[in-house]
Amino acid sequence: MPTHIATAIAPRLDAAIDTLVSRLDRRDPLLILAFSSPEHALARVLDGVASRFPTARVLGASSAGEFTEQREAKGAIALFALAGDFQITTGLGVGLTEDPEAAVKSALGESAPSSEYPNETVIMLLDPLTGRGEEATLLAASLLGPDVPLAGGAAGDDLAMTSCEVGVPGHAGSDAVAIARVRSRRPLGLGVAHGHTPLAGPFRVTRASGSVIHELDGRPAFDVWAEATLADARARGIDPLALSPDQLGGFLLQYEAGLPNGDAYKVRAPLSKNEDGSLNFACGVAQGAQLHVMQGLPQEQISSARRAAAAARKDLKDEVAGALVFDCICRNLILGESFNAALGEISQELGGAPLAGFETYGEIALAAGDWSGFHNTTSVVLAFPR
Amino acid sequence: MSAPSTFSGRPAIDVSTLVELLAPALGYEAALETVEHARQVIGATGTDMSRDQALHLLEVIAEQPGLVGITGRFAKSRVLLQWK
Repeated sequence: MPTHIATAIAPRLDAAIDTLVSRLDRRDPLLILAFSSPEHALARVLDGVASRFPTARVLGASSAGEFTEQREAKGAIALFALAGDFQITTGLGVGLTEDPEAAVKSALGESAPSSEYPNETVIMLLDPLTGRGEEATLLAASLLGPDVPLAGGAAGDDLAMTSCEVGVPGHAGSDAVAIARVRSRRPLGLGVAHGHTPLAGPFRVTRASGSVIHELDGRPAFDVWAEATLADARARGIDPLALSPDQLGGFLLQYEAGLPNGDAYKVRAPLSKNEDGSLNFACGVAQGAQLHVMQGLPQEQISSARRAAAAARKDLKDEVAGALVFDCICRNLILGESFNAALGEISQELGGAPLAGFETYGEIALAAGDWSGFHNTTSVVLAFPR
Repeated sequence: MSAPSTFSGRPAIDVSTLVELLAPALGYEAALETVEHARQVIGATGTDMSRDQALHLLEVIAEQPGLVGITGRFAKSRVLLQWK
């Protein structure tokens, strides 16, 4: 049975579902992912999708922007439906902050290996405000073994940085991780790329606890951030020393942290600032680490999206039926109106295949041989073979 | 982000190889500091270690709280499979 992927985006759930039904052309989807602006209650969105498609597994996340191959939107709902020859289970784990291992185990549930479907890929959605992004990813990878790639994204909340939700029908909320285990006859394709370069640094993390960096080079972390970005930000019309609370999240996501690793940088996202000048990140950052403040140039954001899509397609060795895309919100902030051009690059690289996704506060991509799986500033593309 | 291909089958494990396993998640400097601390704990003085010493070192790291411990545990789970 060939794979069929249908996508839809609309400012209202009923309109998105109607479009999806039409594009499914009487096929029964096995899996539906819903990416929903916080303007819509995620629980209602997931329950609404499940009631319309009672035989499908449903999974979703709140977002900071939603898109399909056709367009990007704010305040909308994007749907991705997968029909074809797959075995799929879904699960939810709560209490990610306190006990990430228990939450990940609960979300993974039980899934017996199948000789009929020898390939497994895990799609993971999580609440980044827990600061457990990398921890949850590595725990899942440890439990699943090296042959199971992971892809996914960290939920968003339109840059409010107050509540990011994930869920399944009947249960959606923050402090949680939601997982779909996809078993297939052929492997899926996974690609990840970022287009950020160092702006300033290195700075040493002289005091950190969990996902909070208190001090860099012995100074409050935000003071260092504001100083390092001052000239570049002012050239973009932003004053880091005069940011209102609702501007802060967007500012920090344009100037993320880069941990040197060989010739490359592992990027980590600061999400918010505390009163003492410390910064909250989407995952743990080890004390003693050195980091750079990074910047992203618009053209690099477009070419990196294309690189991620090309890597996913190359992995696939097959025609692409469609793709899920998890794209850092920072890329949208940097690209502005050109963001749709980056989406077009991805779709074009995938042969014009349908795609759906959301603007994230963190991305997940861990393939065999990778030693880290939680990313920031990247585009992650998970492609399905036709 | 891949482990060095020379990892499996080597009679001795170079300390820098262990740092490379942790660096993608922790950053190079924090990974180096973590490995150096664990070396002191297990009393490993040379730059090369036996496979058992290297596993012991990763176990010590895996016992640490938070991201460092989880990264150590993940690295150990992967190298155990590579060294089979």
